[in-house]
Amino acid sequence: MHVTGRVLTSRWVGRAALFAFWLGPILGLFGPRLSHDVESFVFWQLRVPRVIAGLLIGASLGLAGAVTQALFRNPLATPSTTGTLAGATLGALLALVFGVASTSIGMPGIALCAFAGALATSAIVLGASTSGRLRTQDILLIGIAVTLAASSAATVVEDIADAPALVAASRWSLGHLSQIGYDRIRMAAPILLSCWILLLSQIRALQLLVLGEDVAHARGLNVRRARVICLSGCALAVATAVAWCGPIAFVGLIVPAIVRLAWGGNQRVVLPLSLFTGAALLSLCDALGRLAWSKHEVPVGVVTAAFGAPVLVALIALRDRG
Amino acid sequence: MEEICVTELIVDQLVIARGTRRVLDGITLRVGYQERVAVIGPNGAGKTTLLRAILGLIPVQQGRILLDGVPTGNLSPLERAAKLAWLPQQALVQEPITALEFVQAARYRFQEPNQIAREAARRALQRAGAEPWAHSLITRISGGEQQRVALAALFAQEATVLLADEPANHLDPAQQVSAWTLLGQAACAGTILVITHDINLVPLLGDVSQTRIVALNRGQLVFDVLANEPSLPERLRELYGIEMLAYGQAASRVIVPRGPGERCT
Repeated sequence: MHVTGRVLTSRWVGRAALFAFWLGPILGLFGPRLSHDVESFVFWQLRVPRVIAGLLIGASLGLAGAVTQALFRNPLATPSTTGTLAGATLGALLALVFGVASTSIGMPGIALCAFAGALATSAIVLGASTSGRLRTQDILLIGIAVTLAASSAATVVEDIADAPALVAASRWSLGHLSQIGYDRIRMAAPILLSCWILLLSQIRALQLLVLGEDVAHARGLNVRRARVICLSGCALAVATAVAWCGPIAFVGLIVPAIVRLAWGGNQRVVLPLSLFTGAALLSLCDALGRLAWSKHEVPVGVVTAAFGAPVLVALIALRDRG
Repeated sequence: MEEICVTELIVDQLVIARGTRRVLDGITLRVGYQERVAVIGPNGAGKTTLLRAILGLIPVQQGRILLDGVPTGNLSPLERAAKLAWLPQQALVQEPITALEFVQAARYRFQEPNQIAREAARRALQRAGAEPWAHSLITRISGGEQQRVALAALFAQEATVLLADEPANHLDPAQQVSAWTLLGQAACAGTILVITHDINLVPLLGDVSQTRIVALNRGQLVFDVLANEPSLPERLRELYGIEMLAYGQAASRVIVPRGPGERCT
């Protein structure tokens, strides 16, 4: 009876939180009162695209986090432990330091370089994952090694950077959704949506992979193919998301954790629900960051960490209480 | 005589090496259709390695493994899963999933709607006597209950050859008997290869005069006899290098190890 009671507490609080997150996209449409003609422009050209971007990017990060955690059977595995985010940060930093940030080839240089950096580091991890001899846990270690190497390289670049570039880099690394207009959404949406389809097609494979790769193999799964598909889908989705809005790493870590606490570990539930919860949570955090303090906007990356961490800790405490 | 029945599984001159050490050194084994084989041997003899090699989990240096005449390496993962199902020594799962979801995942090889997979998983749980825990998280049930759920998953895959690695490890005597009895029932429909340290559980698989005991030691096949072989206690003595006492006859024969008899006083 005790056990059931505890599970239920954590479950129901978690479920309530998941629904409450959906206030985010609604909240994102509101703002301070403005004169009528400005209001219409601000609403349609700033707030609406921002909410859409928050939903798309949050969904991608939540889903990618859930897939990464299932693949590595590790609740600490996220796109930041597989090298993707460190690569994006290094790319963005290089763009700022070497002055290609403003060059535009359809998209700003900083986004382009972050995207390239994320794909480059992911390619190393992905290359390792095609080897049949390596175990999935080895790939996680390689991802961490790549992350550390990219971070060290970033430190070197920071060392030679001038002050304005450093300020811009630190601002970028906080994460923000404010600069995304319809043109960028049009560019990112097809990539993100195809990644979703690719990753959601792997639900049955991931249901086996959480039981261990040997068991998955014995039950008829082509383990190597499944992990290459999962890793490339995650890398592309995260690279796209991060290129536009900076490294909002935390969404990928906490969203699947909250979903699992609230609904259990069935991948058939965890994956789609992480997609929806990520979307809701990121737009909620963005709205909170924009509305909380009228003088200055708090970057969405900061709000996600400040808001998401207590929610996660509270759910874990509820689960283990008693 | 072996031409009469369809030969399911042939291991031919199998060599598995780890570095310079030969973990399996020229193993040849034929397991016929609906045959029951218990694999015994000291720790490190290569029993688990043999099972993993058959499953294609480790690369084979020399020799062949054939299933119905086809090298296992030529089978697609789904074809292999239709023929071979595996009960690992310990299927530890940290994921908070229910027993039903766990068993349903074993139906991966069937391209079937969710509803049908669920029904089949429920039947497998019923067969293993694990139905009461269908909706319990498998992280929250006892070791014996987990093993029943693992057996249900083994059945749910509906493969023709079942490979079980110490299916009664860590279980209390009652659970040991029920796990082995379930495996014996499964053996009526297919071939079964089971690794064990407890020779006295083997009769639970079925008729001892038709159950084989295969012994491995240091990567080599030492003997391959029927479970009612009179010289078995003698052979076990040689295999393990300790005294073995036998009581009773045929199916009710019990073989127990005897200590050196020295006690500190």
